[in-house]
Amino acid sequence: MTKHSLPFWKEYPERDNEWVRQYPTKHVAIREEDVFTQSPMGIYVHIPFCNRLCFSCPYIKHQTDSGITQRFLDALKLEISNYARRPYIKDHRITLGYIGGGTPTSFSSKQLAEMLDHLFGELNMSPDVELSIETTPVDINEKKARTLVEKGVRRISLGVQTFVKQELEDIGRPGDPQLIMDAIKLVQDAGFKNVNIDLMHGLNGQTMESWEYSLDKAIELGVTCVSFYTYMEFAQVSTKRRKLPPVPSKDVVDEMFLFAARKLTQNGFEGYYGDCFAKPGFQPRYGHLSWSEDIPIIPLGPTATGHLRKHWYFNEPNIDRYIDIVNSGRLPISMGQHISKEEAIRRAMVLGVKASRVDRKRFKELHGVDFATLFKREIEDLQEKGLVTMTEHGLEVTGPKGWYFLDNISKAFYSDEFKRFPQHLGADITPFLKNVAAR
Amino acid sequence: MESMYNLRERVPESQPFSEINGVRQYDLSMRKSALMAYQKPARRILELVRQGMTDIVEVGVNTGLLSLYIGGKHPGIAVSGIEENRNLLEVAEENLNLSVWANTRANVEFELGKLSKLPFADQSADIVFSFSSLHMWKRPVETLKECQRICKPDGIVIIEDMNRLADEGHITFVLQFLKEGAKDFMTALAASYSPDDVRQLLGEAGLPDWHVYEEDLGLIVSSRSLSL
Repeated sequence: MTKHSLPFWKEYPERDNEWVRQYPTKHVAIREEDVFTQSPMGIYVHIPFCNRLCFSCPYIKHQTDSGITQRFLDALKLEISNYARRPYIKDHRITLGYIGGGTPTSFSSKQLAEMLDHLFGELNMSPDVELSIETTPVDINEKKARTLVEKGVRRISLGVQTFVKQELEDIGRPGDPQLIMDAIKLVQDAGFKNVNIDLMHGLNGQTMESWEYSLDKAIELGVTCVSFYTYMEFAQVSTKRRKLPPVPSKDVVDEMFLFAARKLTQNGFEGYYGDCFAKPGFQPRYGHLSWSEDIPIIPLGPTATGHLRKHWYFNEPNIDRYIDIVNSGRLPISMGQHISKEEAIRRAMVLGVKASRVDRKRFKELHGVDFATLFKREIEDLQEKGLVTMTEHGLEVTGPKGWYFLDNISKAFYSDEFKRFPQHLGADITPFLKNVAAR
Repeated sequence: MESMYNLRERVPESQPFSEINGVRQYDLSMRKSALMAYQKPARRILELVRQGMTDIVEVGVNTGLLSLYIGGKHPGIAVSGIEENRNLLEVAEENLNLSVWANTRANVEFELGKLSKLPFADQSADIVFSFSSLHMWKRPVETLKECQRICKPDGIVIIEDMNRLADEGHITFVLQFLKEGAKDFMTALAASYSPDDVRQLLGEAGLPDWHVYEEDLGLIVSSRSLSL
């Protein structure tokens, strides 16, 4: 007990003769590889061209035109090199990649090779990088498929939509199912072991029987992933669409979703992201790792979105401006935001749920918080609705009901402030905001 | 939490659609891309149509799209649209001319008139509807009374417009897709009413029993209850 009457210096024990020069350390053997480890990183490459523009597709894309495609490819290569020479990027190895569009294979096989050689030459691409590319049954041929495999692309995704001739014609796609089946065989023969096809339900004139036919075909053809999307009719007054049979009612479209989920799981597929199904071992990790694990993503190409260095951002959407900016030596970063710790946690939860499951231990390691405590109220509400279950490992979305409502579930974790903002899809709403400076 | 947009106070539009080419541009953009906005109101009106109905009135026809659509679905029912903005009426007439040339079966007529003094007899319409017009009405209380006056006792009045104080997420969602039309959209939204504003107008019009619903970006006013 200190006696206040004593002088101050008397309170000290003997002077410690060990200098404090380090913090105590639990030493184990360590190598230079442990100190200079390269963290994983991903790339998203956006190729905004299509060889044919489908009137049923609402996305922004350009007709392939040799005048602009090569200029674009040259700019894309410059953008890749610009990133590649930055020390932060050099400290990472690229383990994930997704090449989307548009139709990336609207490039010639020579251009595809040029792009892939540049990616592998400039960036620290991991030898086992999980690289996916999108194509369509008409925009792929043997030469392109072999080039892609040879240059390191491991997964290919074909926009099939349906195997029914009439349904194909009604969405303005080449109406030959045989051509689609040949294309799937072609990519399998070229060496793609992981082949995804996109299917659509809710098409004009589609019935449960015709939907089942398309699903059966997918299973029969031995594809490893099936993703399906609900068709949305955008061009209601298009003269091309006027004479078409009506789209199925909402009840039927809902039932088609549940039917497909049941059918695919019964045939050895496992569900992820709600409407994507893969054979065991073939689920792409791109979404899971860039979302749940928060692996940074370099966005490459116009409108591409990514997140690096505590910023989420997207690239200049206008292709001419994109080319000009890249040629001027700058990155084409257009809009985005610095992200706070709190929003990063919410984002991890929102996107983790979107990947169907959130691991409690891993979440804590990455973000330093227990999501089950932080989002107790939201999770209990979702549990009551039968949409998610909590286990000792974490949260799991309950299929198939929860898969169907996956976006609703995911949005339950938006913050009140941020749910008012758009997802970053290339729109600029800042002129209308009350206080632009405060963002 | 501070609001994102400057929409707390209503700002009436001084001269909406004051230039004919602007109206044609608006009409074209509605037809080409924003027809999505017409789908729910169109479906709601069609669901209200019953056997034996003879007359439907649209109050503030804009460029006539909804009347033409409803009329085309029910050629046996006379659809009459009144508009007080000359430019809007002119484009509605152009649309009507084209649909007549294209042999529409619809029995549709458009007329210039004051919305506060509708040129119809008492209790003459089975359905009185309005879409995206309320925010431009010059004397809304009088127009609401007029809607009530011309509606048959077993008929229905249904008025839809934007809700100025809609959830900001809904505003953002629409805004992000509009591009060139974004400024006009925000001006119209600022001129739109909130649910409380509309309840006050209904009170002043002596129609306190009418119903006010909110749906996404929209505001729905109805003389009878609706199951939305």
